Amino acid sequence: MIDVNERLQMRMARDSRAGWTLSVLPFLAVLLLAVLSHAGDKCRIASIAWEGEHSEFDEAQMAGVVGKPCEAWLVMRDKLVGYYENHGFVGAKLEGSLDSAGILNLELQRGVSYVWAGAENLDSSGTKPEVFRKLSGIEAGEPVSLSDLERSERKLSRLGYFEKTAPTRLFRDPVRNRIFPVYSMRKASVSQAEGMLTYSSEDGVWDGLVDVNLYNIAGTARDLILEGYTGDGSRHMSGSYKEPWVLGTNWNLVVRGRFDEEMYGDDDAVEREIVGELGVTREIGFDFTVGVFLGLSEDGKLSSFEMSYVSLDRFVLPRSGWRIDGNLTWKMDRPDSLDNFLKAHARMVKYMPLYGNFISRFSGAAGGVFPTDATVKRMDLFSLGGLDSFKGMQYHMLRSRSYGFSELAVLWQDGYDLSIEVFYQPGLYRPMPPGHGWAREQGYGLGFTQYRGNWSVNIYYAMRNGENYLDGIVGFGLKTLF
Amino acid sequence: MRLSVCLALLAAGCAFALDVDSLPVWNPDYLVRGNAPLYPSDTTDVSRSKLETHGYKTMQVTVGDGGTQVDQEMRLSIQGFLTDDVYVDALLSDVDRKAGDQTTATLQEVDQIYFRVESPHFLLHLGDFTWHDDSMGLFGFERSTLGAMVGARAGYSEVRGAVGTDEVERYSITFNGVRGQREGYSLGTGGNYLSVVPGSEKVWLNGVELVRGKDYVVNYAGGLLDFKGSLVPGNDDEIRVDYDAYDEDNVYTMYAAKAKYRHPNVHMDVSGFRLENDVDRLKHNSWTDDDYRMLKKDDGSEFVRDDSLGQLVRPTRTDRMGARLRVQGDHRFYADLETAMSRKDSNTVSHKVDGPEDRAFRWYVTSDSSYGLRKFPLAISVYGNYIGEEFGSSEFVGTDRDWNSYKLVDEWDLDSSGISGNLRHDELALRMRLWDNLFSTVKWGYRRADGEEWNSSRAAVGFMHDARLVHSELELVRVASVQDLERTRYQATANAEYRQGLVRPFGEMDFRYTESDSIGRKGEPLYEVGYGRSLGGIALVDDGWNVREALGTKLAKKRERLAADGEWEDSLVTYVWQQSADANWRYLQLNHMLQYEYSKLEEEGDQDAWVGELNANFGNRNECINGSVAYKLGMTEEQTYVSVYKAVAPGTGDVRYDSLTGVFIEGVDNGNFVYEGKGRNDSVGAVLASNSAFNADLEFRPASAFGIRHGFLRDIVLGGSFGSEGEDTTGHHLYFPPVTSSGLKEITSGTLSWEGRLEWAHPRGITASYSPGADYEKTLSSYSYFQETFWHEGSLGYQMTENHYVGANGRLETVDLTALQVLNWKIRDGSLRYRYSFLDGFHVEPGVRYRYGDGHDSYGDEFDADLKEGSLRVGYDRDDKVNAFVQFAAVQMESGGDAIPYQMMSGYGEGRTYRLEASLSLDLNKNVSVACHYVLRFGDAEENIFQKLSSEARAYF
Repeated sequence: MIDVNERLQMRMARDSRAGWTLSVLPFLAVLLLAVLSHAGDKCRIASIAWEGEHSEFDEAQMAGVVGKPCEAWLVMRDKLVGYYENHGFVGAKLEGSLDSAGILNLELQRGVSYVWAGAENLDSSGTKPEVFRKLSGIEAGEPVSLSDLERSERKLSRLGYFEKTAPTRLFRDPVRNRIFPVYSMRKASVSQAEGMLTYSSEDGVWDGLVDVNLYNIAGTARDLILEGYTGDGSRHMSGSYKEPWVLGTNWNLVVRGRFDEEMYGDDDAVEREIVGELGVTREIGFDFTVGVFLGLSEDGKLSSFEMSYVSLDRFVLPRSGWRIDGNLTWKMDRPDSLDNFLKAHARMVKYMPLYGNFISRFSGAAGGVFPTDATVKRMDLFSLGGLDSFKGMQYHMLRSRSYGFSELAVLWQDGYDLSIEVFYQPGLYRPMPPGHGWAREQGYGLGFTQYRGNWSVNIYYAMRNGENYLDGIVGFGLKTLF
Repeated sequence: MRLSVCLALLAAGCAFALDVDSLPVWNPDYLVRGNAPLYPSDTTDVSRSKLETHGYKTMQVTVGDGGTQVDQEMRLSIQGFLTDDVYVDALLSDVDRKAGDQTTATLQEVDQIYFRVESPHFLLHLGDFTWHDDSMGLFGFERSTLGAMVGARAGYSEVRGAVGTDEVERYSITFNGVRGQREGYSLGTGGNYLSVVPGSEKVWLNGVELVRGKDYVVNYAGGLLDFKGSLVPGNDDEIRVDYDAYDEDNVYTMYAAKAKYRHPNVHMDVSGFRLENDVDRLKHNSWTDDDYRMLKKDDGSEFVRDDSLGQLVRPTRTDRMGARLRVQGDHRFYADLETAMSRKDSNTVSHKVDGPEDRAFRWYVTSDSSYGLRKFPLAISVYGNYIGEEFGSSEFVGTDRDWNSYKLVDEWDLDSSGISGNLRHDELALRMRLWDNLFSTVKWGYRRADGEEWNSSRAAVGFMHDARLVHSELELVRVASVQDLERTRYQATANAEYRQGLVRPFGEMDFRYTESDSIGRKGEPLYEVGYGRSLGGIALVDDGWNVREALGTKLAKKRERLAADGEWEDSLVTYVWQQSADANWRYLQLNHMLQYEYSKLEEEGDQDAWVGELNANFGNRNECINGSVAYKLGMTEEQTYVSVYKAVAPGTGDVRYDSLTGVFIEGVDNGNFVYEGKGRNDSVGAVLASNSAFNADLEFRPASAFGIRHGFLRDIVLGGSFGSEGEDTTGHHLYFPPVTSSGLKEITSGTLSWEGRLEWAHPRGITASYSPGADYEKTLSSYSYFQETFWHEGSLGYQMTENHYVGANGRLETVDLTALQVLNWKIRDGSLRYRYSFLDGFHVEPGVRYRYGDGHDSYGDEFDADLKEGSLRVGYDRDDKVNAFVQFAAVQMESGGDAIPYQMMSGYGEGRTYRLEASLSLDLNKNVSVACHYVLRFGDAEENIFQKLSSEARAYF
């Protein structure tokens, strides 16, 4: 006798892990059955006879199988049972038998309904229990839904805060109709901090870098990100802080700011931008997040709307799923010399397992500043080059009014901690004057990523537009995680 | 499979229905650690790759009074199996990248990088690599480059190809040894500084390739060759070194490929390469437009730049290709055939300039290639080669070095510099097995130019007895050559060696008689030359030790031919004595080599040459006596090593230059330099110097020596060390480094130091020590520098209880310095401190110090100063993981306005100085450590408030 929890795992595994390769198989099977049944003796369902207690909804759901081949009702049965499983009736059963006249006798045993109890965690999550419950997305008192359980497990895995150490299991309340979703999530090392600051009193120059990424600070789901550096002719500093579930609502409060200074051109003109923004974000369901921000900069006001959809299977080296981010920013109240403008930006990544340890990754990004003839500062434009955009270029090598690229990568992942990839990245961008029209950009190269203990190492080598391989970019990142 | 399972599931109508009653009951106690029910962990999520990344990253930041100094270093290595048979090896090493732009760099800017994937059937290597091709006899190719290499292997075949770019130049130099010089042969021309590509060199001694690390080592930064072991080349030994050296103005692109097929009976090789200057990059980086125009117009005639810039090197291209076939049958018939072609373009930019192009062939056929001739007692073999004049056999040498200059002189009486035309060599040899282990060889060979401008024939009969116990050989040779002179040589060589047993005698000899005759030229004195060389000795070999003694002579006599009073005259007399010993026992490890050579030359007169080295360690710290002795003697071209100080942002260093005495003082707060290591003093230039060094260290424990259990002697340790090194470039021979300061003054440069130690540690917690010592140093610099320091130092300590300690220190030091100024001074220094430990790791330590110094300069002007210091230190130590302290000191220095040497009062100025020092070092975990050090100085003795903060983070993973 297979344990209930193991059957649960089997079901979840069937639904999620195998990705599209497995998920299309049932459809293929149905198709095959349909073809087979058409080809042979045409057994069809003539009518349906219900026994026992049932609702009109059930009848309406199953009515569709009348006239269909005999085996077709099984698919509808699963659908109906699945509906009840996701609405509290986890023990729902639909039994049926088909007689020689083609009459389908159905009996629905819906069973009692159950509600969720608060999520529990068996491993040391380093997170406050009430925070963990909120993060799980499962609300106590809501009807039990097995698909939500699965979505919640994926969500917790891709947050980055946790590492799944054992499958999620269900426990029941001995006295009430409650089911406990019990996770095994261990605290993961994803935070990192690195910094350096120097000051020379002789020429009054500050020099340094800061790279702080604190996730789930003290187990409260608060995140703080601070990044900055000084380089040849440019300085950059940005930070963001998230206060989750502000005032007990489902809204998160986010404060973020940015400082950029860049020297450009032959005469070393300096342009500077300081932006501060305050906004709220909230999660919708398990995968969607929306956010609205209002901000001030030294030369205008801005408001932005952000949306993201994430269904990746995990935070570190994902193997399947989507990530889509969209962002619209309207910058207004500008000085006379500059125009108001809309900056739109979107990016997507899709991971898809190919075969064995091989995984494909499709990604793309596009952005534009509208209206296209608006007079804007250099800083208002997109900064291109580096790991997030054109990999073959030096980090933040150029600015552009609009750009777009797509990327195809084939990854080879060994275990869950190592990934080697080859990528090809064709793209377009509008060069700054005196350049005009669209400039083509092609990048290609190799990448290597490994997570080992408290370390993550990332190296890539990228070339562009057929240039000499000696001028190819070697990018490397080494992080100590805690 | 999956499909069928799903079909089965569907057909069975398996709807998922949870039987809620079978769910386990939740118990809040499960949340208590250790109470949770055990479930199998999700193994798919915790599987780890067999590939591992290791390395380190360090970051040092020093903020000083006037600026900041940032140093970064990173090294990353990835190694391991990707799958069962795919192996990955990668390395990234990057030093001194600025903090801000550390995320990206171009491939050229990274110090060292490579990525290599290898499986039984394929190979991919990207980044830095060395292409190595020794499959051909007629040419070989080795180059360190940056690029890509691919390879494939299947069955008996293997193919490899590579493309790379580098900024190195290939050099090949040949020189003779210097009697008595084992170390410090300069590979550059004129002793200039060279940066040799590590591992790119090949060294031949008398045509025999030597093994790196065992026979020789090369100091790559500088380009110096040291021989090791008992290899000491003499004047008649020829040393050839091929190496790559970095040269920024010479960008080369390399294309190379090789293929091999290795059937048990048939070996086939095809290989080739193209090496050309990368014109695009040179145009971009090195050449001016004028240079390029000049190169394009070049027609092969004189090629000199108008301006005063250095020589403009023409961009060249070399192509070489070869094919080789080796077949064998019945494990005795063997043939080896090879052909190669070479083409060179001396200026790839100009159409008017072409280059030499030629071919070469080589063949070797034998009826029996086996050593023992077991199947048939007679073997005939034919060897020959033809090398076109323009082939360029001296560059890119292969494994068959048939025309190397040492062999030509030693075996054929031909001078390589006088050889021209197409080269031909033919040889016929007969090998016989006369008895069980007795072989005989008859050989006749003939070398000539196509047009017979010169030739040489060599006939030899040899016997060899090769048994397990003894190996002996005898060979009789006649060489007749025609080059500048017509020579005939009769030669006999013999050698014998015992190979087993405790006592193993050995001996070898070589006698030659040569007559020379003019070829119709008048006025040339013609000689008969007799030459004899012998070496014999004995070796004692046993488990863990061996001793070898050998005596040898070299004699050469000559007389004028056809002269009426033709008397034999000595032209060379040499006696050699060699001794070596190695021992590896429990209480003694010894390694010794000594060679003496006496020679009397016609021109130079009598000469002695000594080379020696001794390293010995005896005893260990648990024995009554332990120590080490090292001694070295020889000649070297190596320049003296001096401390190199790198200028850093003002105030951030810990070394300062004292302009009064002209010396660098280490360990100061407010320095403008940091110590970078020892470097060659290039300003002096390379000259042959006699060099000798001696170091000894000894420690003696009377208690274990005499079994003393009670009393004063039980707790005593006596020790001492002596070190001396001397070098002389004035022609004076040093057999032992100077042991007195007057001895040191007589030589060019050197150091001498000694120290005695007497330590007493009573089990009750009382310790006392006394040590007298002295340091003498003479350096070769633009001004004469000589410093003598002599000191007595004593200390007393008493650990009263576990938490209370009191200690005192005293030091008396006399310094005589002759540098920019002549200064003599004396220091008396005494300090007292008390330490109280509390709260498991904390301590408080108050202390006082008094220092008095007085002295005078060469004009008799006297100076004196005294220093009083009171300090308080609070510290915390925990498990070697945390180490922190804050020390505050108030220092009062009075010098009465005299100018005093910086060191005399520990760098404090006249008046009052307050000094705060704080330090923290922390091991965050086993991989990450951080350290911070802060110094603050202020007070009326200081011009400004001085601060310095240095921090360092180090991560190993």
